Amino acid sequence: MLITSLPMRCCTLFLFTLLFSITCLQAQREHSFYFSPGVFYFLSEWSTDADPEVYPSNFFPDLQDDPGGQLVITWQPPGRFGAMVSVGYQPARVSGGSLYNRQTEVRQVVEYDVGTDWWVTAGPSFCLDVGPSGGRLSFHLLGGYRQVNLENAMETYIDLTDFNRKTRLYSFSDQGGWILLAGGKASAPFGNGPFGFFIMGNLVFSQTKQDVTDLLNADDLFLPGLKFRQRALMGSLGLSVKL
Amino acid sequence: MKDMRYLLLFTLLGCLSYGCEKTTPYDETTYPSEEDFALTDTIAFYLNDLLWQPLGRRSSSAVLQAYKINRFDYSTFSDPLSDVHTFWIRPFMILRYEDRRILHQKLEMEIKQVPAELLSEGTVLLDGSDGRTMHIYDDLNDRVYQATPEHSVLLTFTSFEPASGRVEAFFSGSVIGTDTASVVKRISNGRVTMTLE
Repeated sequence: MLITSLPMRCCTLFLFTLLFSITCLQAQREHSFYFSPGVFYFLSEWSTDADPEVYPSNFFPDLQDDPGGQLVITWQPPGRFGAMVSVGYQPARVSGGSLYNRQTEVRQVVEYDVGTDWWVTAGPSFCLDVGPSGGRLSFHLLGGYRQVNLENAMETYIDLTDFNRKTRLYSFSDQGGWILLAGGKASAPFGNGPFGFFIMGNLVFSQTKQDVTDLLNADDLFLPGLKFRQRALMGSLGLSVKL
Repeated sequence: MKDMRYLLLFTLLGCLSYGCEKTTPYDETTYPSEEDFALTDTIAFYLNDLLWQPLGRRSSSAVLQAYKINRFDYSTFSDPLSDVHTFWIRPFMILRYEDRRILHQKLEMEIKQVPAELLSEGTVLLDGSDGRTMHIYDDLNDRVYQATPEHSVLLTFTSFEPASGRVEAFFSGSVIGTDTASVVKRISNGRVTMTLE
């Protein structure tokens, strides 16, 4: 699945959320539904995977995620097993940490515009415990689609062979990817009402592929199909509404 | 309360994770500040577009080479009888990546017999003549660049405080490779502060 335009992405997210909500509302009354909007942060490390014969320099762009927003919808039928859907959006950019060849170059500046990173996941959840006042502790395993749209990044560096300043303009073309979230969610209600507070922690495994091109130096496709892999700890917090 | 225990547990795990974040590496692109030049002995210039400043020591190991900026070797000699001053400036610039040197250069400036009145406001031309030399030794590329009459470096003294011995000078110009290629390199935005012995 490759959805490239922003309106298409928004429509997909909206329809996905709407359909799930309608399904939830039509279910039996003893089922519980939790809508949990919040913010999250990835403490992450991106790595790249490429054929060393194709990319002998072994220096690749680095990605960096900024804090983002998240909506978690939990369906809890009678019993311990339930289902969870989580959608997230965050700004993404090229940090440029190892963009340049550090054996022959000294980096001066990387300028970039902030791109977008969004994902949709779904999967089972398991409610470990429910407290006397309605607080819950649950675990989940979610998987889904991820798309990282990076804007161009301009790199200015010093070539240590002639000490002159040079420039590269990297362009990124996303090919989509996948994301896995494994973690737990703890929530506590405010008094006896439907509103509450939640904290969520996840181990994140993700991969996205990008075609990376140097627009200025006309090397055609510079790094085609470069795989970016992410391992991260993800922390979220926000409000929770029980229906 | 049982529910709050879960919240505290997750908060604690989050704080521990945040504490594991890495620090950023040293940025070698920042020109020394006015405060650096005023308070410490400092030298910096651009070699073409490379910001050249003393980094590392010739004999230091990779561990000890902690990029101490602008701790450079120089010596001065003042003759009280004739009131002239002599400077020998010998800083190194060494950059490493994964224990491998990617830049190893030594700058040598010899400025002999400078009359005291020039230290407050005056110029000296480094053109390779006796006592007016500038060399850059590029060990990795096995090259030497030097000032010559055609490619010289103009050094302008701008301030001298006799009480403290603080001297400040600006310099710019060009140097040329001594090998057959004779590549010319620009020297710009040069600035140095020293203290007379």
